[in-house]
Amino acid sequence: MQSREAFIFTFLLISCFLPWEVALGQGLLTMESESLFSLRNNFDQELESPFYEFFGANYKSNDQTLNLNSNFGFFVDPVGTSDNDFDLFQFNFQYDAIKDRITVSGGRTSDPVRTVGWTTLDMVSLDMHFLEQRLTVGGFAGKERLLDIGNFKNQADLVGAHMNYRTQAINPLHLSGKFQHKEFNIQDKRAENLGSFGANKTFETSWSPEVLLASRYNFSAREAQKVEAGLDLYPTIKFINRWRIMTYKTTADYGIEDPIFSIISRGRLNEVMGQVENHWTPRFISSLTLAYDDYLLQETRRAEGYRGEFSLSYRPELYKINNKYYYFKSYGGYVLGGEIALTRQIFDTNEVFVSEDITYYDKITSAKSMAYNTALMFGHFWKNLKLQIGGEFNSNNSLTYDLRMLTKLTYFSQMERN
Amino acid sequence: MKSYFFTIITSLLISTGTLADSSSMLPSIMTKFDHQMHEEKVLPAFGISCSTCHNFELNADQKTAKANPNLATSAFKMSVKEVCHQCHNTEAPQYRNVPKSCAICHSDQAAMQKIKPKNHENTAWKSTHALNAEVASNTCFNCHITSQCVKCHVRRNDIELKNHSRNFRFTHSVIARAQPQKCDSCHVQTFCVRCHLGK
Repeated sequence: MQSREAFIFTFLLISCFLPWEVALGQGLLTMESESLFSLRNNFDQELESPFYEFFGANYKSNDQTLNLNSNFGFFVDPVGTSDNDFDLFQFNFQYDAIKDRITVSGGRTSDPVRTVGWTTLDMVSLDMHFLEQRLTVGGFAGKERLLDIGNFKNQADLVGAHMNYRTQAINPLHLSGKFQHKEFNIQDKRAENLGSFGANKTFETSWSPEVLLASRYNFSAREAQKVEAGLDLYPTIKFINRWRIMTYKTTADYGIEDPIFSIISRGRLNEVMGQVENHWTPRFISSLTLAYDDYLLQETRRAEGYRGEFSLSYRPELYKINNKYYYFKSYGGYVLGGEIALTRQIFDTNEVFVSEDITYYDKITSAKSMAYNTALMFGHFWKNLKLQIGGEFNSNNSLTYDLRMLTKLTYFSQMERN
Repeated sequence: MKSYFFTIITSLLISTGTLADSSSMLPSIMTKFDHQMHEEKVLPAFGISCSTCHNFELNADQKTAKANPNLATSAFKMSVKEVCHQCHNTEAPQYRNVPKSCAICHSDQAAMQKIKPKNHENTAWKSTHALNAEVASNTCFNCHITSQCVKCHVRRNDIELKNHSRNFRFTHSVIARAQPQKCDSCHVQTFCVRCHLGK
């Protein structure tokens, strides 16, 4: 999309929400904006001045019958050579044609609610609610959009159906099921049928166990793409123990949207993860995560992956401190590092942020080095605005001395009319 | 072209800022309560009297009483939260048809913080929310709006990195081989092509 048209389109989108006081009824309007600007050198030591704007608006009527969403982002680089870009992430509505019974939705959506997995698509859908809205059955039809190749480029049409059910209990049993048929309009790409099933329940017994199950099945390839089960335990109110096991497999069959997994693995991956977290005090939390992966690297060879993370979070008065140490090991080598981030509030309207990330890596290619990332930002608050100005310093294998300036302007507001 | 662009951006920021300045303070959660609707249609159907919620105070004649209307300051036998929750957050079968969605009243950000689930406070929630979201994403949107998902999962810019550190560029060949399925949450192969085969 040409930049001029993108900006006009942007202004029109904003205009849709500005006259909300006249056109729309009682409800809550949420608006947010993040504007990022940087001055830096690229790897060819050429100056760049990238600017990125992300804008989001959401309107929900008080009677819960109307919901409007819009998100978009655009990128320009006035000084450098990067191409301008505009992405429309969402522009949709949900409306209760019959209150609490039938919901009609339409527009661009980017979420995993109706589709199997995360999908951006232009769609229409119809949902019907039963049993005091505890049972929802619906269907959709739409065109998939791949934002990496353009806002309105399309190579597949989707139709599908979904079901969500929860019981009446305060800690209900959640069940969800979806089916999706994908018809490629690219030659030689065969159609794909996917189904998914999920369940979730917290039991009111000792340790309050929460059980989760998610699965995804490819009917066309006749294989389970993903089955993941989880167990969260709460032995005390301050201690959490999580377990996850998963089997995962996707195949390269779609062309430009082939999964990255298929580059690295030729078959099925199995993973087990354990995590413990303890709230020592309301302001001090620590957690430890260990994960082990095993997957088919080549036809006759399997590979293993390891992950360990230890993190601390401390929130004394006026401070926010996060400290994390990580270790990864795979057949590609190993990575060991630590990062710390500190935010200090100064008076009521200012803050300073400083972070440091130091990483050591040793790769199978015999590349061994360290990488450093340091950031320092000063922030000032107004009622709904926050301005942060600062810089970032990087030192690594590619750039021994990389200094960049960063400015960020954040806006968030909620306006309500009763 | 550049002046046109900056004019648009400046107008956007000024207009939204102006709107913010002109908006009133968000009302408290109590202003969402429709007393007339409850008094006329709901409470009589359940046989609930005024004294369920209100305390009464004697009139000067010591013979008659009136309901104290000020829920925020009068002394109750239960908290205001419990007054609402006794119908709207209960498994009691007689209140089966009463709306239970928390978002009806807890719709603005301040009110939502009061009902934030405990597992959201965990430091590891960012990395473990995937399974919860996949199974019961409808419950997420009782409080969240979808732009919060978009900001991490779909949005792309390298000015401020949300999900990976700046050093990830040098370590991703190792980390991707440790957990190759993680990349599929947000990326497809076209994302790799940009650096590895193109610009």
